Parts: sequence; structure tokens; C-alpha cells
Amino acid sequence: MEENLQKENNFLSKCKSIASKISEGWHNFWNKPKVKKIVKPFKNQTFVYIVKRVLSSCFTLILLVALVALLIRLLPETKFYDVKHYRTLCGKDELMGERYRWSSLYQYGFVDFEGNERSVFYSMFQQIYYILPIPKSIEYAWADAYCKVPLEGAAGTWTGLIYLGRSVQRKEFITDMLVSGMGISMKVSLITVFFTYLISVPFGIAMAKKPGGIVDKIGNIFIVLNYAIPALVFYLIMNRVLGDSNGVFGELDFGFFYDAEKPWSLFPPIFCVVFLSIPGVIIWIRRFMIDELSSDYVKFARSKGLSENRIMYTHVLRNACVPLVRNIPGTLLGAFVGSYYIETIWTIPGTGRLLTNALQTFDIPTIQGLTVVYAAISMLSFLLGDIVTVFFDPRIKITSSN
Amino acid sequence: MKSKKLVLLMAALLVSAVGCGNPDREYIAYEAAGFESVQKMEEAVLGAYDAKYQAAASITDATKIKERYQKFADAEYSLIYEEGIIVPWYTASGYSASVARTVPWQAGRSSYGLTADKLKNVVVTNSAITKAQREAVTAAYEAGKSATPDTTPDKDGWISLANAGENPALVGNKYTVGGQEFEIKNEFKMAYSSEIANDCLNYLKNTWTYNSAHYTNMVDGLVENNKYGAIVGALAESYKISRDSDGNQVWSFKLRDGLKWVDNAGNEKGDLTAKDFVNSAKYVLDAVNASGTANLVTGFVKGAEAYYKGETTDFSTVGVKASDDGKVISYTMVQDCPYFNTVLTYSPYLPVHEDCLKEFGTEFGATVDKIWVCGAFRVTKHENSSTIVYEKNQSYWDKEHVYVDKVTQKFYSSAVATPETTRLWYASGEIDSFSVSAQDEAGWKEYVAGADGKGTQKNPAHNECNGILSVGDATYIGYFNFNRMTYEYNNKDYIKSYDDKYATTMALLNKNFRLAFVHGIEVEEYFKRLSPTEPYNYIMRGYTNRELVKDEAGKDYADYVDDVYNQKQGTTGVTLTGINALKDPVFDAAKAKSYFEAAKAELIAAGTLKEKDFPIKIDIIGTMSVSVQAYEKAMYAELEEAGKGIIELQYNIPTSDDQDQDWGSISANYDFSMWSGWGPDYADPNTFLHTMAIDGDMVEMLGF
Repeated sequence: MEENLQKENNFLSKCKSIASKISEGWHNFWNKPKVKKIVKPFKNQTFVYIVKRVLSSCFTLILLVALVALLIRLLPETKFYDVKHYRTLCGKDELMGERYRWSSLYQYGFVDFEGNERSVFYSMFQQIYYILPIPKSIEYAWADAYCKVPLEGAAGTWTGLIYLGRSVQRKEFITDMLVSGMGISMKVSLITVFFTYLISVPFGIAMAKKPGGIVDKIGNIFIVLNYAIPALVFYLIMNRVLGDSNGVFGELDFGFFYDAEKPWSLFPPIFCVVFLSIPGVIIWIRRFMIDELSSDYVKFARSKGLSENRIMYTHVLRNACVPLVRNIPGTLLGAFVGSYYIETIWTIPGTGRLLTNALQTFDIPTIQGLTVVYAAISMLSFLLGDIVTVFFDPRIKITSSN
Repeated sequence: MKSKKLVLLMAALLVSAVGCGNPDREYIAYEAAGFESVQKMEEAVLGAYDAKYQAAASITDATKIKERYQKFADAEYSLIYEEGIIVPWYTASGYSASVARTVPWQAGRSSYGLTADKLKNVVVTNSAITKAQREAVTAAYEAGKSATPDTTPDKDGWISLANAGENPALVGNKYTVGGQEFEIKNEFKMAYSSEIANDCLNYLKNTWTYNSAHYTNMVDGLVENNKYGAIVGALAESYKISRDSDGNQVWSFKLRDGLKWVDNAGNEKGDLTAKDFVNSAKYVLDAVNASGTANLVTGFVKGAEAYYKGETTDFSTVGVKASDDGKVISYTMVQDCPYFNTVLTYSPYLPVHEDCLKEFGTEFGATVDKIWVCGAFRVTKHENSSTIVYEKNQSYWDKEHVYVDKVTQKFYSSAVATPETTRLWYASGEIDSFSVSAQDEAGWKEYVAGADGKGTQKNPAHNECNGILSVGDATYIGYFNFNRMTYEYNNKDYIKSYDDKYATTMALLNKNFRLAFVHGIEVEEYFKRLSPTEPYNYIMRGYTNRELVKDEAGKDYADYVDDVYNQKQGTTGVTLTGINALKDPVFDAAKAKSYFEAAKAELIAAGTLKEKDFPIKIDIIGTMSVSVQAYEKAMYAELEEAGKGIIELQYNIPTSDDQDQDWGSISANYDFSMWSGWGPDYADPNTFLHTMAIDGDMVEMLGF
């Protein structure tokens, strides 16, 4: 009996010692300095949050791409090629007609260019594959209309990571179209946002200092009148008035169109956008400032003897800005999507026109590619907005309820 | 009780079933009209005209031009004023008030082909052309008209294509013509409103003008039109017509020396030889390439149609041959064709180098760096929907007659342009010429009407504004849908029953009914929209346009048609195509009324229709634009009055541009439509009259 017990005890104690060795080893491993360095960022709440957001955005994008591919597959395929020509060719040679059909349809995923019919799921997965950052090569130009032999090298095959499609109307890759237009659009956008805030913030503060005062009244009238102006009418009028060489502003030589060799020809469009964006920002500043001004810490600061200006600019503004700055990344990136009128009237070769033009000319690959890009941009701007808010306001933390 | 209710119910059902009548059974127009097939209906409607047309078209002897034109004129008169198949009404001709910093009359003129968009002879001046200057230049132009080229063949039989009306060369930066010395600028600025798209710059496939306007400046063909409209040599310097061993007519062209291809960046790429013309024919005739202009080759070149249809894969059976030394290109004709040199001004006859096709494959012409240039300009910059820049091609064979080094084109969206837009751009120096629009009140007052309001488009008041006479090239016609297959309505009240459709079909088959339309539409009311003071400028009552062809004595073909009209109608001096007719010679409300009444009487007497079938509902595609609707109504007002009780016009208004185009061109959702036209493809009346022959190019619009 005693022998058995002892044997049991030995066994148990052996197990215990092994277990404690393992846990010690585990503990030691995670306490090693090198390992700690690698793990540290993962313990940072912000980092985890960002990673989580990015991953969920990617997942949303993939869903979006699949959905758009599905919608395109639901269109009748006769919209993508000339049916009359197809029938004529089939009348002459069945294979010729079919090849014509394949060469028009393969880029939408209806068939592959061997002619095999493809299911909707194949199209969806093909589009998802295209936007994943995996190195890939895609043929787009052939030696002849039979689509058998792609042209050599870059002339016939696109290589890269993310493939967004190729415009049918303009025969350009979407990525190239975006890159070539991005420079000017971002430039316009940055300058616009900068000046909008530069002008609106002091004005909004001036109005908030004395609600109901003379500055506030004038400001309100200005805002109401400004809102009443229809944007397109304002752009057209400004184009006419500012661009006319024989008019009042003729000396400044703005011109009716954007000219790459005359950077100041950008002044009229930027002025128009800034002018129409100011009231929006002023209203928010004024409102948040007034909210803040009625809080306790301001009364406390006043009683302590701080000057009004110091209170305004150093303390109150910082707090009031929080809701505002979360919109700035969105506004900056909004130039990609929203400046259709500006770019059309002043013929600025930017990216704001791309989606609307594609919709008007029924350019499906462009619509597909741009939808993905704009969705990604929206998600990015939301994420950036949230991060900027965190940095701006110490009260807001990205922690779980702890 | 129950059985009574049941009987009542059955009775009610029976009555309602009978009362509703047959549900709308499918309506097939030609069947209902009693024809076995569509072809039989087509023969019944177009047969008489077709017989006259064939009699004329079969005359291919180059010495019998007068007879050919006479017979064509008979056929044309019959088409419009005897059979009433079409109602010609509008051509974009007449005077336009133009203010320009370009010397007039220097550029090539033509109502067909790609010459009209060529910029090679544009001369840009520093200040606007005044009336005095224009008169002097016009006088010189008229004087030069009589210069005839030397058509005596040389010792090998080649006839020179040299330009008898050649422009002078520049002296320094001065250009002298008509005793006027102009100081010129070497940059031309203009605006464009449609961007390069679809087939882009692939000139062997393309049919769109917004593309051809660009590649016509980059690639030259064998021939082009000079400023008098005559065919002169471009890449070719001489030609001859001969016969091959089978008796087919052969046109041969000898190319100039030293022709080169460059790319748009200016790098030399190769020599241009006769083989390049064979390459382009081969590309166009290969059906898989989906060329939109293949019919311009298959209709003329022997063996082309068989190759295109796939009946043979041996290209040597096609009548396009290059000589071994690469200097001569020969085309063998399907049948004798005296006007083939005018067909050569079109896209499918432009050359292409085989290395160019090999390098770019299906991407040929997709962007400006995927095309080779042998013409006057290279496109050095193309920013989509923004800017296009041309620069002079220093390897061009005719570079001493290209007077600008740079052309800058700015894009403007028609959605944001207003009638004054071009005037303001001109005043600011953004563009170098514009036409004053009738809707631009301030501009009209300043340039055309003047302070006293007496100026007209022909004689504008302002010193720098000139009345430019443009000869319309496209003729717009009204036509009937005999075999209508689509009935779509946006307005429920217009929906036609089976009997309504039958009544319309039978009415349209009646000649008098159609002739009432020919004489009853008051088109001047519509033209008041284009010119409130001179609406008659736009009237066109013949089909083939004036100044298209003349016979050997110099008589315009349009005069032949006028003679037939005057003789048959018993009038004198009426011209159907002249712009000196200050009123519409054809509109006659009383005549229309009598035609309608005759039609009604005939239809009832033959038992085809009954009194209750009248008024007959005629569907017209109404215009979507609210401002234009008033003019449209005014145009039809007299017709409706003349046909009171006999016809009822239904304005079927589409809801979108897409639907408008679909109804008008694709599904033919109308009984009568006025919104289509035809422009000439080459210098012969056949180009117009063939459209309405049996199996012609436009009979789809008639429902066949």
C-alpha cells in the first residue's frame, strides 16, 4: 500500500515538476527582451484598434467588390458588344463570331478568353483576386483580334499588385488614370481646405465671442446669403466674371480655362470652392465654441484672470476642434469624388470627373474600379478621422471598458 | 336560389368576355396589309422608284454623265414628289455670321470625306479679318477658280494630281493673298466638345466624327480636296485609269518620293510605300476587326466582298495590288466607277505600316502613342476632357503649306456652355474664331444686327463680322415607318388598338396620304428657332445636296433636279436646293388638304377603311426640350389643320436621351419621323439615291 502511494506520489510530483518547468519556460519566453519588443506594439490599444479597423475595412471592400461583380453579371451580356456585328460574323463563320463575343466579354467575367462560360462566382472571385495585393500579370492587348497571342512585354501584359481594370472608353488603366489626375486634384483640395479653415476659424470665433452681437449678426446674414447661392450658378458666373480678359479682372489674366503653364489660373476655381465652403465651417465652429464657452472650466479660467483671447485660442478652440478635425481627412480625400462641376467648367484634368463621365458613357470597368477605390478612400478617411480625434482629445481613448 | 345566382354569374362572365372583344392580338404590319413577306411590301412601296434608280445607276460610261444625271434627277423627283417616300426639309447651310482671326477660303472644302476637318491650311492672323480684307481674298479666290489642272497624260500615261489652286508659301511671317498682306501667328486655338472615345484613333475601324477630326490631321490618304473642292494629290502625285485583262477598270496611283512615317513623339519609324495601302485594305476586310467602314471597300473593290464574307481566304483575289518597287498602288473596280477618286478620301483607304500593326496589335489607335503619323501634325499632348495639342510634323511632304506650328484645342462640355460662351472666349483670346449664335442676344446685336438692327447673317453690321456661306452637306428628311414593329408609349392615352394600327398602315401605303405630308409641313416655322429673320436659309427640298457634282459643262446636278421639278409641276425658276429661294416652294396648305381628302376618298372607296377609322393616329417622336416644343408645334400646325378629321398627330415624348435615340434609330418607334439625315460619301448622286433603293442603306428607317 505504502509502496503504491509512494509510486503515485512520485508520479504526481514528476508531473507537477514538468508542468512548472513548462510554465516557467513559457513565462521566460515571453519575458525575453527581444520578444517583449516585438509584442509591445500589440499591447498598445491604439495599434490593436487600427489593425482591427483596417482588417474590417478590407473585408468590407472584398464584399463590395463581389457585390459589384455580381451586379454586372446581372446585366444582359448584349450590352457589352455589338449584337448586329456578332450576328453578321456568325453568319460568315461561327467561330469568328464567337471569338468576337469572347474578346468583348472576357473582361467582365462572362467568359474567359478560351471561350468557356464562367459562373457568377467565378467573376466574383476573379475580381477579388484582382484587388488583392498579390503579384499578377494580366493580358490586355493581342497581336490580332483573335485574342490568341498577347503582345510582347508590357505592351500586352500588365504586371503589378492591384489591378483595378481598364477603361473601355479611354483605353487606359484605371490606376494610370487616377495617378495622372491625382496630383492636380490633391493640390486643389489641399489649398481649398487650407484656406477654408484659415478664413472660417477666426471668423467663427469672432462670432462666438459675443453671440447676438454685431459681428454675429453680420456673420449670420452672410451665411444665409451664401447658402442661398446655387453652386453651379455661382461657378458659371465666377468663370465668366473672373476669366474675361476684357473684364474687370482682365489684368490678372486668369483665363476661362485651367492652364498648366499658368498656376494662377487655378485661383478662380479655388476661390469658388472656398467661398461656398466657408459658411459650413463657420457654423460648426461657432456652435461648438458657444457650447464650450458655457462650461465650467471657462468660468474658472475667467475667474482666474486669463485674458479672453487666451481662453479662446488656447483652451476652448482645442476642445471645439475635436468634432471638426475628424472631417478634415474626409474633405481632403473628397476631391477625388466630388469636384465634378469645378473640373468640368475649368477643364481641370483631375479625378473628380472620372466616375460621372464613366456613368454617362456606360464604361463599366471604370465604374467597377472607381467604386472600389472610392469605397477604400471613404473607409480610409473615416479611420484617419478617428485617429486624429484620438490624438487631439485626450479624453477619448480607444480602450475597451476598462 | 343558388342555381339562379350561378346562372347570373355565368351570364355576366359571358357578357364581359364578349364585350371586351378580343385581347390585343399581335400586330404584324405587312401581314395585316396583305403581303406575304416584308420583301413584298418593300417592293410594293419602293418598286417604282427602284426601277427608275436602277435605270440611272446602270449608266457607268464616263462619256454619258449627262444622261446619267438626267435619269438620276428623274428618279429623285419621283422619290419625293410622285411616290412621297421621303420629305426632305433641312440642311445646315446658309449664311452664318462669323468673326475670325483666320484668313478665309484657304482650307480644303468638301461636303464628303475627311477634308473638312483638316487644319493643314489654316492661316491665323493677329487681328480679326475685316470686311474689306475678306472681299479682297474672296475676289482672289473666285479668280483662281478658273485655273484648271493640266490633265494631259505624260509618256507613261500618268495624269498629274498637282494642285492648280495651291496656296502661296509664307514669306517670313507674312502671308499674302488677294493683294492683302497678313501678319500671321503660328499658333491656332480652338475648342472641341466631344472627346476621343470608343474606337479612338483606329482609323480603320472608326466611324465617329469626334475621332476622325483628329486622325485626319495625323494621317494623309492618296488624295484630298483643295480649296475649290477639286480632288488633288496628297500622298499620290499622279494617277491613271486602265483596264486589266478581264476588262475591269483599274485605278492606279503613283506615290511621291521620300514619304515617311513618324510617331507622335517625332521619331522616324519607317518609309511609307504602296504596301501600306494593301495592309489597310487587308485589315478592313478582315471581318473580325469589326471595321465600321468596310462597306466603302466592299462596294467598290473587286473581290473585296467575297473576302469579307469569308467565301475565300486568299487575299490575292482582292483587287488591291502594290507594285514591287512600292511606288504604285492599284485598285480594281467591281464595275466602272468614274468617281472612285472621291471615295479615296475616306478612312478605310488610309495607309498603315505593317510594323505599326505588329507593334500595337489590338491596341492600334487606342491612345496617341499607339499610332504612326504621315500627315500634317503630330499630337503631342492629350489630356482627356481637357486639352489636345498638335505640333507641326517636320517630315510632312507638304510642310511648306502648313502655316501653323501648334494647334491648341480646349475641351468644353456642352452641358455648361451657353450661347455666348464662344464669343467670350474669342474676345479673351482663348479661341481664334466663332460664329454668332441667334440665341446670344448681346452678341447678335453687336455683331449682326448692329445699332440700327438692319444687319442680317448674310450682311452683318460689324466690320469684323462676315457672312460665311456654308454649303450644307447633310440633308435631313422625314420618312414613314411602313412596317412598324415597336409600339411604346409614355402617354397611356396614345396607345393604339389593333384597328388603329391597321388604319395607320393602310393610310401610309396610300400615295396621296404621303404627298400631303410632303406639302403640308411648314418647316420655316421650325427654322425661326435657328434664325428669326432668315429662316429660309435652311430649307432643303431636294435630296442630293448642291455643289456635290457638276457635269462636264459645269451644270450642277441639283439644277437637273430643279429642271425636272419645274417641268413636271408647271412652275418656273423654282430651286429646291438653292438658298436664294426666300420662301419654301413646296409648302402649300391647300394642296395638302386636297391630297388628304383624295387619300380618304380612295381608301373608303376601295373598302380598305371605313369612316369610323378616321382620324388616323400618326405617332411622332416629340422633342424633349421644352423650348423647342413650341417650334415643333408651329411646324405641324398647318398639317394638322389641313388634315382635320383625317389625321391626328400624337407627340410621343421620350423621357431620356437614351430612349430618344433608341426610338429614333434602333427600334423605330414612330409612324413618321423627321430627325435623321444622310450626308454624301463621295461625289455622285448615287450616294444619296442608293439609300432608298430596295435594300438601300436607309430602308431600315422605313421599317424594311
